[in-house]
Amino acid sequence: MAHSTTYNDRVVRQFAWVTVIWGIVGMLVGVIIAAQLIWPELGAGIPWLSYGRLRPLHTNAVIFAFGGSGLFATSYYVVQRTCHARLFSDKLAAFTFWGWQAVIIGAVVTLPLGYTMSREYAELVWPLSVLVALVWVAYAIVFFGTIVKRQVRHIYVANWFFGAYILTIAVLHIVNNLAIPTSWMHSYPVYSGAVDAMVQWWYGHNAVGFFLTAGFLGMMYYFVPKQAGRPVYSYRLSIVHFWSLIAIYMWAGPHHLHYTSLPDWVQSLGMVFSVMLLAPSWGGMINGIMTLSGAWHKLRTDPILRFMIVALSFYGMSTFEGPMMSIKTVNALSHYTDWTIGHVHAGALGWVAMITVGSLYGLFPRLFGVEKMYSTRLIEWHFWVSTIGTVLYIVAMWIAGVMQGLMWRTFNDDGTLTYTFIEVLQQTEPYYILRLFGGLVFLSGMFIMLYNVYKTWQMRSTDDLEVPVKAPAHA
Amino acid sequence: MSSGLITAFAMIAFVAIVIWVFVFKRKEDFDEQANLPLDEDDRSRHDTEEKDKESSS
Repeated sequence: MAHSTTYNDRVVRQFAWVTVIWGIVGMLVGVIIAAQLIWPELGAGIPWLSYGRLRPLHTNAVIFAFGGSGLFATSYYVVQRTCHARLFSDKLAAFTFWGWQAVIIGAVVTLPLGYTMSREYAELVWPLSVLVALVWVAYAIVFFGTIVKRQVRHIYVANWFFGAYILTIAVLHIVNNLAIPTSWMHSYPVYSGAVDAMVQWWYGHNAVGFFLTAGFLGMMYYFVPKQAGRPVYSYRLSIVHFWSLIAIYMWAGPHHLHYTSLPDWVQSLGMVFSVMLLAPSWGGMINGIMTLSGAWHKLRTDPILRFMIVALSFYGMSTFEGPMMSIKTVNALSHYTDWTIGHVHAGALGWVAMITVGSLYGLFPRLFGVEKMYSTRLIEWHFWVSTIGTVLYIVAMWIAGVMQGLMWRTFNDDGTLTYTFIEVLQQTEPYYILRLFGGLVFLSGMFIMLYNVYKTWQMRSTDDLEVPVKAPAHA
Repeated sequence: MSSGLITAFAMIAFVAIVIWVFVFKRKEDFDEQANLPLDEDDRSRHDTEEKDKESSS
């Protein structure tokens, strides 16, 4: 009986904890590979530690282990609190936690060993991909089952975003991973040639759009109003934001394949839809930031709120940069340079990591049953190192990227290249050092967070805090 | 021809959503939904009322 009248915060606590830990692991691997780009011999010649194998480990760890666990934690928390209902099934919820951790451990083992499907952001070998699909189906059942159980009439907008993210990732993951296994660790994709490339980037860009955007917007639509103590700026705008974002994102993928063998009209289509994306992205950003209108003074005293508002600012910045880079003439300069890496990290560090960290700082005290985090001063420190680390990183990559693009396209009068590749690389080195420094600064913030969370956890009154399901205010 | 139809359909769908959201749906309905995250904590109730007062005056 007690079970049906309390929230399932156990699984939320588990996912919240591992978010911090996987964040440190994933970002640490990122720092290592950033150093390898400066000192290539850093892996000591051990194949397991070579750049080519650690790079997919870094991307998988930060996107799916850190970001994914953060999304599990917050979506489970938000759907229960806004539906006034306990999670649909405790057993399935526990399966999603342990299953997801098993996938991550599997990735940590197989990727350094060199087992890969060679699809960017979908490198995991087919048995792990099957496990991902199973966990995801369980996730969908738990999430939508809880929505069906809700005690309130409406479905809060954050749940729409979480729901879209869960459904879309299921479709993307399954379609992109269709393959014919030849052994336990090897398979051939069912697609080939340009179709294969198109499917891959339809998946790849929608992983950005639905995993790294829609999911974290769900987080934003709950935790920003919660932290600000006032409802979202415009609920109407949030609905227009939702429908236009999910309608447009699906078609933006071809901008990853400009000037390739992909049909020209598909490239143009991808470009047009990418440019259009600016409108819903900025609509959402404005909606989030304006939630604070009339309460701007809170930014002065609350570093958690500052995390969220700066995250939204980086979101606005990278969703302006993205459409611009998808324009074919700009892309001719930016593609294959470090500008792309800078753009990705403006989104990944500035938006995804900072909105997650802000939301978790709001969430942990509630999960441990304490008033607030152990130290607000340490949150303040974390905020500044995150912001400075991100800015250092993206500025270094902007300069490096534009410089590379310009040097690569400089020709002599006889049509030969003015600069060799190694000359460009030499010019890039100082910016790689600056990028490594920015990454280290950002990573140090995660250690501050781990310490602060640990101290907050020590303040808990009980290990298994049971929060009763509250009767809805408007029945 | 068919692509033109799809474009027209997408446009109409977008306009329809905007009209539905801004014309047909009631404001009170949205206020109720917007307050869902603030339902549980009593400490946030205060701020919400403050904002209501601001907007009504």
